[in-house]
Amino acid sequence: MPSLRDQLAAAAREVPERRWATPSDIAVRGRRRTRRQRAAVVGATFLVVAAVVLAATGGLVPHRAAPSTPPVLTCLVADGTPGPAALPGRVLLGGRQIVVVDLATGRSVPAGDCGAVGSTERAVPVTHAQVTMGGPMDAVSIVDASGQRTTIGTDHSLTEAYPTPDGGFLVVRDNYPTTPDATLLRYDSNGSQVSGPTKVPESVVFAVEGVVDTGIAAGGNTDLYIVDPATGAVLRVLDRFTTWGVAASGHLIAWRPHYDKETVEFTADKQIPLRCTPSCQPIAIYDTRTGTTREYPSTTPDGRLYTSAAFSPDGTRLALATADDPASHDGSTVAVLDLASGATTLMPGIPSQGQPGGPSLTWLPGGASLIVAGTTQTGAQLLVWHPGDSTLRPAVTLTGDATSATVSALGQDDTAWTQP
Amino acid sequence: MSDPPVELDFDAFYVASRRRLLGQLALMTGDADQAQDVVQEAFVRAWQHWDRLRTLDNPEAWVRTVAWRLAVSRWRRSRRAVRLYPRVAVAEASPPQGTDEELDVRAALGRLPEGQRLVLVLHELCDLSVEQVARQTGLPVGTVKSRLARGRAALADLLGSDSEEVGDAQPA
Repeated sequence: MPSLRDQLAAAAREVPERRWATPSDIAVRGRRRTRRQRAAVVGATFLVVAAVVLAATGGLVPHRAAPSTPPVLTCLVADGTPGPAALPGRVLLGGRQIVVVDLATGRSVPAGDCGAVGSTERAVPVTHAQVTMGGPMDAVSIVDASGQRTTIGTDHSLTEAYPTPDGGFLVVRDNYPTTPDATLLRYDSNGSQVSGPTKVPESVVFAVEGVVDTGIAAGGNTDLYIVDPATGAVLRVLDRFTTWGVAASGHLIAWRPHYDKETVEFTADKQIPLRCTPSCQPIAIYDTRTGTTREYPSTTPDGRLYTSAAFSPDGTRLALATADDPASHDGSTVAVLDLASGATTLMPGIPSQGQPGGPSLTWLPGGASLIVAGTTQTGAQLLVWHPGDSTLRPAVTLTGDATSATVSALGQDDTAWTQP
Repeated sequence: MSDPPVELDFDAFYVASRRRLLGQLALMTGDADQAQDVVQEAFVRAWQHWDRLRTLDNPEAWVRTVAWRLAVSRWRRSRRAVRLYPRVAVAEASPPQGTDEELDVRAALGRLPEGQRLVLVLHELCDLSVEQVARQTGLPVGTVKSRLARGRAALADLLGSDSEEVGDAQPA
């Protein structure tokens, strides 16, 4: 029996490779990236100087959205000039390219209409503004309802932003290679910094997943940590919780992995677990308010293992989905679990071919409806389900790059698009 | 004696180390296509900082770490819903290559938690000591050791052998 080291070396040698970029290609891309970064610094300096001059001469009138402004998706026009292009009742679809689709009409918005959410950016909904990420400068920015953009970070550090239960957001900045840690910056709903910068160890911030009402849910891969955002201190460790998600209300879902190959039946490629014999470990829901954990079945009544999940906005229900069995292609089952009663509402037969974890699930902000992103051999289809209804309403059918779409709901509430 | 031209120096480094880094990142991420993307992007960043990196003892470690961060960032950014199963490799666009045993090793690695997979590959494949793995990942030495032990045991179980056989390489 070869040693583990030999087995790994043999496996690494046989990894398939595509055509490599030539060294000159790498140099060209490096020069281009350097130019972009320098241009960003020059541009930011110019904007600061211009703002100072305009403010001094009375030519600049600061504007910020009123607190009553509804949370709508706003964007910039293609040339980067701020424009108040509010898009209520629409969703962002993330695939190879992010597009904006009006659920009422099924039409996508032309790319030129919304330059702020281009192919490399994504938006995080917060109460009075949108936090966008990525773009040519790897920037984290706030775009408020008036179209005004405030850039928080413009360097090439790896940054993430997460909404907080109070309507603000948290920004994580990776400090590598300067130091092996990361920095947390917390902002309120108006984009004002309320805490930080707080340095936390890399091992903790490595996989921040969201902000709960008692701290930050973060962690490595065998444990889950609750971290104090003000000090970086670890408040609680949940042992061997490896997968988790956070509801807008601050509830936490956590799940212990099941590696026992004797009881888990995988797909033929050994990638996706389908069912367990005789049973699977339960899903564990950790309540950050009470500090208690409650367990729920991890399969449908007929034994199909749930492979993806999403909390309702208020944290009282959990949407779950099974993966499609490639042997039968009989579709995925979507379920809504009421966390208080344990009751489950099921909807079988959702097409989700080629989606490893089954259809992606997104609650609309009002919590009355769920968007289910199913896929077929020809493309992606967004289905709208009011849990309890006997059917799903097809909303949008997409082809091309959106075949593996996931969805971010950014509409004010579901009343904006339930009318066809 | 003057330093060699930066361009030639970097080119030689790129050609000599890219295949090795691809193998390492593919095992770390479980996705060969993504691994090649992030390795190439990490080399672009290395080119930008080459004046400093060329003086390091091991610039390859720098590229490997940046590539790993890029892979993690991609994963974080693409994630929307919670996946209730261990983070496994997505289907590779390229047809799998290698013997059944090698494919089994890659598949088994893909089913390990990321933390265990990362320390196993860094220690066993990249020949880093436990202390070096701890420094590179920012983890305490004890955590690295426990993840190595758990990873070996899980890998042994997945490969259908006993842990003594696959875990014969001792921590440094």
